[in-house]
Amino acid sequence: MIKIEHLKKAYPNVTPLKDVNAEIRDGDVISVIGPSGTGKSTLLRCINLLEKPTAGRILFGGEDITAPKCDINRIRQRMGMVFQSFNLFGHLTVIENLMLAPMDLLGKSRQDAYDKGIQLLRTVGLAEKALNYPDELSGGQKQRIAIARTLAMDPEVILLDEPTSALDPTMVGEVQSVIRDLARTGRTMLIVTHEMAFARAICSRVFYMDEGSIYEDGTPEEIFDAPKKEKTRRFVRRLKVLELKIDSRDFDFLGMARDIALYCLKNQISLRVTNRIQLAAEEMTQILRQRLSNVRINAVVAYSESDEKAELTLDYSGPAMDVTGAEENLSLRVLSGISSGMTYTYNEGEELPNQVRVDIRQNG
Amino acid sequence: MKRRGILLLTAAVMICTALCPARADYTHKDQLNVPGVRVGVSMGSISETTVAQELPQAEIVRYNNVFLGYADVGSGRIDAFACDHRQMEMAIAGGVTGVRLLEESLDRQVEIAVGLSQRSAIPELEDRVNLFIAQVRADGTLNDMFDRWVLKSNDAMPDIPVPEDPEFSLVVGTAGCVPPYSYYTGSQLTGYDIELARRFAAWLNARLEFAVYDFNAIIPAAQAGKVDVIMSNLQVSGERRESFKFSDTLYVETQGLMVRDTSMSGLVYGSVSQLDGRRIGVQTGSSFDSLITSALPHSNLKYFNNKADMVNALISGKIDAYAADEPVIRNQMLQDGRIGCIPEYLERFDFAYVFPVTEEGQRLCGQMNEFLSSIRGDGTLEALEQKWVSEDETVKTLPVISSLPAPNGTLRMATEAMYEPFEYVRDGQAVGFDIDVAALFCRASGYGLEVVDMSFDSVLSAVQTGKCSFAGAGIAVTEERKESVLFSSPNYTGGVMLAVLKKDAVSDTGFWQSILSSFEKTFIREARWNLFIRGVVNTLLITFLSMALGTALGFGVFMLCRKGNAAAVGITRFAMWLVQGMPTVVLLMVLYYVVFGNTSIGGLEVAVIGFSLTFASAVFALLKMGVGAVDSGQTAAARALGYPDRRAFFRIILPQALPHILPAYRGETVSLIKATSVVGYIAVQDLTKMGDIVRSRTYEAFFPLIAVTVLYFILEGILAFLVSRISLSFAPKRRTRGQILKGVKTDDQN
Ligand SMILES: Nc1ncnc2c1ncn2[C@@H]1O[C@H](COP(=O)(O)OP(=O)(O)OP(=O)(O)O)[C@@H](O)[C@H]1O
Ligand SMILES: [Mg+2]
Repeated sequence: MIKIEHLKKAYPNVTPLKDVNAEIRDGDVISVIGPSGTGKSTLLRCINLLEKPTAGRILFGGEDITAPKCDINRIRQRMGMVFQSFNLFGHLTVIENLMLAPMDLLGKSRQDAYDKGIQLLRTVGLAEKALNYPDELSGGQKQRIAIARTLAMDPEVILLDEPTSALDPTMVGEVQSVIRDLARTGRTMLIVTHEMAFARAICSRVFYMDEGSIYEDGTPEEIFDAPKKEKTRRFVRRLKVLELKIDSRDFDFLGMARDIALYCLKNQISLRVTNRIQLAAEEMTQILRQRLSNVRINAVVAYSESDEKAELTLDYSGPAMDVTGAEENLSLRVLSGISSGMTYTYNEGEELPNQVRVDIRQNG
Repeated sequence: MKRRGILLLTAAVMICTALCPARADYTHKDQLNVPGVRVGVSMGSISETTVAQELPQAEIVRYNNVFLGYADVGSGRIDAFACDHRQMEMAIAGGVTGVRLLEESLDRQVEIAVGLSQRSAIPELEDRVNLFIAQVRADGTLNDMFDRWVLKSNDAMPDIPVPEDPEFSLVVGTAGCVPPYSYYTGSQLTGYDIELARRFAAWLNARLEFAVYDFNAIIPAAQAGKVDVIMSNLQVSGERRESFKFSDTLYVETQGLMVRDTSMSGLVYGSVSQLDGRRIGVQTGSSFDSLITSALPHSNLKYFNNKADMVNALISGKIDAYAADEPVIRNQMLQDGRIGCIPEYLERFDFAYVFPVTEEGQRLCGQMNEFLSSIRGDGTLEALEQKWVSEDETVKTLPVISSLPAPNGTLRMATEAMYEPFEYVRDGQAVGFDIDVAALFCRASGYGLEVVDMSFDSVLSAVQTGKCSFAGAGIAVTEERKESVLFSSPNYTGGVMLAVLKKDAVSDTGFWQSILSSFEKTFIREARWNLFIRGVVNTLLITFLSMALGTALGFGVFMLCRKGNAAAVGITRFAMWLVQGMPTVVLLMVLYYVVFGNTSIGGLEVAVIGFSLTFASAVFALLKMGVGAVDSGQTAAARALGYPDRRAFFRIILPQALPHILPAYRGETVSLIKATSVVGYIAVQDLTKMGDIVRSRTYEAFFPLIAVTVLYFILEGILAFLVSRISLSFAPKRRTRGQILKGVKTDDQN
């Protein structure tokens, strides 16, 4: 239904979209996720041409809407958009917000527009607010009206850009449930959202956006449970990562402990776990420093906010050498005391082929 | 230490004296040629240069309007005002108070001539004008005109034939506010210059048109060819000659100096002549009524039975003045601080005793003179005067005449006891001021006194024939009488004067009275309200047209610039910079004299164009502000629904911007109506200009100004009200349920 080919959008100082390719099929409910500033909003606004793409094509029902002769206003009538900031028309009542565009643009009679409007208001549960003005409504109510306003035009596709992120937590639920109902009607939808659980619950596909493109595309299960790419994994598991590069024997280990402490503080990791991470890092590097002839270690501390697990991964140079399988020593004993598991893998051909992963124990 | 203190004090006093303005009572113009003295002139007049030359030490203060200058002289804000002597004379006669003219005038005489436009379409204009002037001078017309308009203030315009089949069109520029030369009676232009213009047009066989300009704008108008000639008491000067052509001289004018009149400043009426046509009180039975009818033929006499009623009538504003003998008035002034007297005598006289021209008579006369000078010196005479003019009969006691000791014999005094309070009969006895003084004289000089009452006709001959030793009968000193009798020095000097209220004592009724009379003069007399109506119509015309055109233009330009079209934005920015940077007057002048200088587009049209431009730039800025205040998300939402750009603007953005814009728009319209008050510069007679015209006739500095202000307030109020009504109809939230759901059937009828 929508086909995006080599879409590029450049602003004078940033290029949020470098090369976006995607095909959106009829009935798809797609969640667009990704870190802030990766161009999710830009992508949505390019699809209905609120932003003019720098390069590339967008086909809508086979028609190239980026072509100069295309009547974009007509296309936009078939593509609804729901904004993070609602953008209800402040000078009109709720019912007029719903009636205006169908009358002005679709040539509906006042009566038809009104009937449809009232019916939509009922479906979002706000029929009794028909004669109120937007500034008399709560945020959640406003967003529900905005969704109804979009639906009043009966669009084929609805683009929703973070519909709940401007709302108080207490109001998120009501809007999500309206969207959930909407998703069940089989209408094609693109939702930019940061609510993973919600995304997972309603969508049939997920676009993970990063590095100026759709970095990974798949079903919710694929993306959320078994992401293929590291960045995706970090994102969906909401991993907070600290990278440390150790490339000489005279590395500032005291500094490393301080960095870890700061990182833990920032991510509100408990003191006990913090101590364990510090200890694990110290002991591991201690062992490796003794064993390696050429010290090049890449240490990554990762902490998942969703399941509160911390892990320490170390990639290091040299021939295959499983430090976990070495003879008993003090360091290893300490390590096994604070970890719930240690795995070693050897990845042939990588620059740092050895990898050891230490899962930090949380309790006991 | 002490000496230094005194020095400091002296210095302080000197500084204070230097700073305190208009203290001196000026009698000579040299007194004005002192540092620190401020002399007002009318801006751009010859007086400005003359004062600079003849009073180089004085500081020059320039006025746009001579009446403000007069008012400032009266209030002491400036020391003097220099202007055409005759014009100032008329102003004083017309009611400008608290000022007088110095007897000395400035030395330089000013020639008055006709101004000639170099760009006139009339061929050989200069020669024709000069030929015309030579002819009317030769046949005496010029002299006659000057005599009638200027010297006699006769404002009747003679019949001058209007050409039937005119060859040219003659546009005469005139100021319309310099009586007696060019001014309005009712809504009709008249005056010396107007008659001259009519005569010239008839002579030239031209169709006559007048263009009324602010004084400062007349010469530019002629230079730009907007008028052919200027006839407006136009002064010729060397500098003006460099850039402008004048005809031969019409007449010569003296530049007088007006100074503050401290003697009568503070009186409601400063001179007797101002009271013509006013209500004047006299005491029944006095002979003052005939004095008044001859001095002030149009006045309205009110008779009172006693002086107290008369005083009360004055204080409560029922009369404007009353006539009485000087000591009577002085006495009343002492008793009531609100009363003052005009220092002019309706009739003036000295009363003295009469003695025969004999040795005995001369001796007695000498004794009397000595006595009079002694009691005059110690204040007794004045006390006696007061005693006899007072209302209280009980204090008017006499020494017992019959029992005066008479070591040196008894004197017989001839009198006619019919002239209160000098001599009259009370309880069968002759009493009075003259008798009192005579009795005191006799007592002091050792004479007895016998008063002989006779008819006035016999009094002088009784003295001459020696029947009486002397006479005292309110006998006025005249040259004729001096030939036959001997007069003592006057025992009474006085005259009939008019008492009026002091300004600061004008009571409430008096205040309203004066407002009423100002109102009458400003609006009713000569149907001057017609002028105001014309002014209001012009002001409103300019305002409404400029509002409509300016709004349309501002809106149009905004729509062109909205999408950031570089050319449109650039041009607009430049135009706005130009229009907003220029003072409005300058903008109008540039449009009138430069841009449309050679076209037939008139002042009104130029005013509308000018104000449309300024208003458009204001509207543009307002729109920019108002539209900018609408959240950009609104546009995004409208466009996302499929609204084309323009439609989104009109349906979604503009309705939300208007509530931001309209209050400021209302302010702009009010500013606009005020700003239009400068159009007098380009020959449009708007409300302000009409106020000036009327002011030049009523000689009131402020009332017409206040009247105009009130009218502006009313117009502004109406305009603001209209715009508010419009704003209300744009206020979306004031709609009712019925309006919102018009034409919709709802299933629930709640
Ligand atoms: N109109 C614009 N002009 C210049 N830069 C822009 C503009 N709009 C967006 N950007 C930039 O483009 C990049 C992508 O912005 P975008 O809003 O698409 O990110 P996002 O993925 O929606 O982020 P978020 O999750 O915070 O909403 C950002 O760096 C942003 O600063
Ligand atoms: Mg965004």
